[in-house]
Amino acid sequence: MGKLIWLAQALTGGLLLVVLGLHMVANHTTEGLLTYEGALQRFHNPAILVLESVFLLVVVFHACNGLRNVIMDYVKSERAGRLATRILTAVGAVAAVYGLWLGFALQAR
Amino acid sequence: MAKPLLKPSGVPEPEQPLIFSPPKVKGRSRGVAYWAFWLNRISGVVLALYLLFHLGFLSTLYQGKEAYEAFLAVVTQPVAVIFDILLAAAAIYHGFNGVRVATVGIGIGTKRQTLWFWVAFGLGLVVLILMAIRMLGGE
Repeated sequence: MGKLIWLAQALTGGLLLVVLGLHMVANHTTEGLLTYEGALQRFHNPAILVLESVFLLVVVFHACNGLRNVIMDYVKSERAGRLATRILTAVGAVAAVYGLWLGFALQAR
Repeated sequence: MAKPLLKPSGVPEPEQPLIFSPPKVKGRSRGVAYWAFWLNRISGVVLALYLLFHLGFLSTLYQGKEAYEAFLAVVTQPVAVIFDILLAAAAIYHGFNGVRVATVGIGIGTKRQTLWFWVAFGLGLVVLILMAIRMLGGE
């Protein structure tokens, strides 16, 4: 299980380099985000919406799994470790669902 | 190819196997391994927390024009660029060091970890300087 978790963290990390790069180019190299209309317009582009959705899912997994790895270095009991895993899974699920909903809600505007 | 380390960390020395765990410090010496590991860990935690803020920023877009423009008024302050550059530094370091950690983890470059650390650090620094010039309004 530990090997799989490590591999998942490495693979999502590699994928993030690509997706984050695209996210930065698509969103932060132009002036569009500096107006409400311009920012909203981004979400009307299906390619941007797909990119942002993939980015969100990958980054949420990588962040929550990374935080879990940090916590696991310090918790002594198995029970505390399981609790940390459950809390981070819940936080990640909420962030992913909320982020996806937000993206589609903005597209509908 | 060298035997893979299955739990690679930010630790450059091959004799320190657990990469998700803090490196052991012998005596008072805190070398590259120590700082590489902790920089990776701190930058990762900072980026994870920033992710939540980033979702919050997007919420202002959903709340409407007034909320988004109030948010823009804050983040377009000159001092905000400093935070952007620090954030970029964290992301670039975490990304470049992460590549090194992953490659070492699958058994590539295990005997030259310190060298690869400095290569990753140098490349990251170049990217950061280019980004900072752009953020500060230069070309």
